[in-house]
Amino acid sequence: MPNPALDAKVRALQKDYLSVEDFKELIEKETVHEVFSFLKDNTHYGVYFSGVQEEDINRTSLENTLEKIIETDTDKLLYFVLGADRNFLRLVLQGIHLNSFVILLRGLLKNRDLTQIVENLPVESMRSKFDFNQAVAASDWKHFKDSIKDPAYKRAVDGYEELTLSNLFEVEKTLQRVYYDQLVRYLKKINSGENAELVRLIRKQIDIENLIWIYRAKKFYDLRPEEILSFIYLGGKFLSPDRLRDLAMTESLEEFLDEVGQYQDYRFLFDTDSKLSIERRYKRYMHEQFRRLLYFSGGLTLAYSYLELLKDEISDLISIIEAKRYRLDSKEIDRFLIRQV
Amino acid sequence: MAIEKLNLVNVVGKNPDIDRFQKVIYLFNDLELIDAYADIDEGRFTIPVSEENIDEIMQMARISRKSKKTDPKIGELKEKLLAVYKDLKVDKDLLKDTVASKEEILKETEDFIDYLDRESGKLQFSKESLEKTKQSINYYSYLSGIDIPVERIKDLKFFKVQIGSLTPDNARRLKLIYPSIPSVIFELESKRSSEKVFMVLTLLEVDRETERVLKALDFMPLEGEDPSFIGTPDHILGLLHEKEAALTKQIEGQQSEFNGLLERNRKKAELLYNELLFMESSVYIEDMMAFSDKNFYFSAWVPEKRSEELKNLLGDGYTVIFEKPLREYDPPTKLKNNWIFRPFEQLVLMYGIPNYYELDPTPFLSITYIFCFGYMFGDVGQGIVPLLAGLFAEKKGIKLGGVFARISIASIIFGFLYGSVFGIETILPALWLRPMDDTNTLLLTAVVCGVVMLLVAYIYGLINKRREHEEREEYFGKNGLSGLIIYVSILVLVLMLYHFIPFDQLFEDVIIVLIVICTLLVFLAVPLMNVIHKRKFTYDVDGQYYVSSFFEVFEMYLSMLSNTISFIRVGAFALTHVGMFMAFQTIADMVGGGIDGIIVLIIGNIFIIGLEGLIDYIQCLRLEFYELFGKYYTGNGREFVTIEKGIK
Repeated sequence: MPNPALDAKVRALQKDYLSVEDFKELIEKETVHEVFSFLKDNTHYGVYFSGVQEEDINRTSLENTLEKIIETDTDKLLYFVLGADRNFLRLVLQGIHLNSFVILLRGLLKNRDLTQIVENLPVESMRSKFDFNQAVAASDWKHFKDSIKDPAYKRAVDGYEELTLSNLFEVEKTLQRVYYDQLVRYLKKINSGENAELVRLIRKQIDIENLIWIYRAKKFYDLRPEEILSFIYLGGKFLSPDRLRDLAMTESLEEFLDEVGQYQDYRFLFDTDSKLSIERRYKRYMHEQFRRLLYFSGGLTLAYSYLELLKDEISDLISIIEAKRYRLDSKEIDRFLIRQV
Repeated sequence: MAIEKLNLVNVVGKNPDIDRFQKVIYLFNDLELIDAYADIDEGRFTIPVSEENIDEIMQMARISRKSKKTDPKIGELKEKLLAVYKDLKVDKDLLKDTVASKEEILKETEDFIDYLDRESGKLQFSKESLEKTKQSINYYSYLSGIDIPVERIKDLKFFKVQIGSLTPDNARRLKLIYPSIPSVIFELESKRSSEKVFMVLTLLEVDRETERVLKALDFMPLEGEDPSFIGTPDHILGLLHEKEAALTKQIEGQQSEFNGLLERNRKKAELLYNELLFMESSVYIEDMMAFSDKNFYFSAWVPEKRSEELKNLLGDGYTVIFEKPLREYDPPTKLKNNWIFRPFEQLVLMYGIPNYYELDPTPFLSITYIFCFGYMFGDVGQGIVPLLAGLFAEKKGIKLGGVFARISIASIIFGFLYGSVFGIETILPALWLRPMDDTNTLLLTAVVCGVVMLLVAYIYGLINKRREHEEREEYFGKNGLSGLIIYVSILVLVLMLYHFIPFDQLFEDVIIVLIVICTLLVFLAVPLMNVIHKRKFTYDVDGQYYVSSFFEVFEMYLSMLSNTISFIRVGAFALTHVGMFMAFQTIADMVGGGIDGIIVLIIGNIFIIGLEGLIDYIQCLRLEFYELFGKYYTGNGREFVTIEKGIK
């Protein structure tokens, strides 16, 4: 069903996206402070920085303020949707909170002050499936686990009696797997005509995530096929579970890349001629796809595309801030950005 | 039927008496606490300078706060008591004669809870056993039908057997991986749709590989396996079911025994619970007090009529001083209305609570609200239904129920005046008129009643402005004396115009002159006040003042007209009420009458009571808030917060 109220809201928000010219100017800035001043004085991000003084700003606080905007906007859009669409957007919000939870999880393992970490994380929404106050107050893994309110996530980590450096990766992957399993279930519920393009794209995204996972597991972690397959995401577009098994079972990385080469849609990922990293190629591809959807869609597809592109924009801003921090040459910054400037 | 008169009470006592003092204050409750430390700091805490008070006064120079936090033990003990006794009640009377110290109470409560724990030990043990038995039944039911003793399965030398569950998604992953792991896996029929249950048979030599995969898939071993059980699964299940039945019976007996024990100790539990509540509250009271080495200082608002009672309750050993409230102390407002008007207080509070010096609008609002609603919704039958519902709701503690009950009585009275029962006008004779037969009288009477209400509102306004010392508004305000004279004069002119009173040219001229003079007074209110206060005529007056004053005068005339005409709605809704029923009556005729017609009329009545009742309720609220409150009420007071409310 058309949702003109949601469309109008997203179109209004979309006007605030930064232009290519804005990005060009930002890239030319010399310091983090200059980037902050530009954002504060010339863009809609100024609203979020209204109470922040230039001398107080640092890379972390700037990045975290930006990341919180995605949570705020998702929260805002929730008021404009109902039924399955609403549940889907709530899941998106859940994904944001899951990331915050994982960051806290790492902090817990390193015995860091969680109250300080949480201040800079998007954890404000009332709809969270994680009780962040409880998580921050937890002194050990057992109590930390209790802060999970969602039974599916709770079930996933229940079997882990301890959190150690050696199982941290597995715990994170387990939580992310739960998120993707839920995502696939929700995709089935929104898979009507108007959202068909969105569902198709997210399913392709799942394929890509799986390919990158298998690639890394083979290249860097040297995992056995059974372990690789334990953490694959089900519900991709072209890669059926059996096909994924075949890919995981390939004898060598070369054989795996040869197999992937048969898929026209995903061949670009492992293009050895490109200067960009796999991650960057993946992000750019998705960015272009969501840009297309943003202009030719409405309703939930439009809202989701808006949020994904906002995520990309903020990710690019953070990349620029990082580049300024490490005094990277302006000409080099482009290859660290999702958008092409 | 007014705002309760208050006194400011200052108390100084000796520190050793603090526990007793706090208990008296807590039980008295009808006090709004004032921060004594801030009061002393700002020089508002006064005690008479006399020889016997000299020590207390000297010590005031060395006061401090004693802001301690609530002892977490109190909360824990309270929770534990509530976990056992779910329905403990707040009953302050229980505390009247108790003298135990806080430490003694805590010790006694701990001992009492320990005693209950010990007594419930057997019961808890039986419940845990039952829970374990149920888990075992669940576990062995998955093996049901296998004709091999379980000890033989457990004693396998080269194989390990596990039963556990996976989420459906991870079960799909397991099926994908299955060909490449060195285990035999059977899917068992699951009793829970959210999980899939598997039996995994693994060669011990390669157990680690399977374990890693199962761990990665969040395999959750099923609880309930007990190595002491021997025999076939069905044999074990039989024994377990017998044990389950025996335990259930045993628990019933133990539970009833324990319930008896709880009942026998209920009074003690209630006393301790109330003591704990008091201990929690005493922190709030203590936070609002100030302390010196020897004395404590306490300050609060107390109803004037209960001041002596408080003094008597405290008894000797305290310096107690009562003071009349000064305007700069910003006294709170405690509404005091009889049972008829009390439910309407919440409507007043929706707008704002009157300040201490204002007239309480509740009685006037109640009378006019009841009248207007009855006028609009006059029907004996349709009044009885919300009356019963309102009385029921009031009994259940829903405050709005009281409002509904009272306004419904007015509906019934007007129902008799209109001769209407459930919309039918053929059963009762109309004691006054039938709305549809005499619309002019109905509408005109509504406006006349509105005019009377507005005149009362003007008078209320005048009294409030006098009390607030707002001279300009009182004499020259659009809702003050000048406004009232203009309004009355216009009314007289209208009455003369329509020959309700005999026409007299001289009288008319006098009235017109009066209107012009009063209009000028409103227009020049500020400069005139300057003259009265012997300031320059143009002091604080510029061109902008005259422009805004002009529009204010214009708005005054407009609101006089609109406020008066607005009351026509009271009559109009009475007509709507009848009209709406006529519509349903027509539908009832169209469906051919009989049972169908009766059903239509019943639905119609439900619809009218629900929808129109709500509309009339809102319309009355609008008349009160907009037409009337705007004339006389500011509602900028603050509520008197008793100790109980303050703690919440």
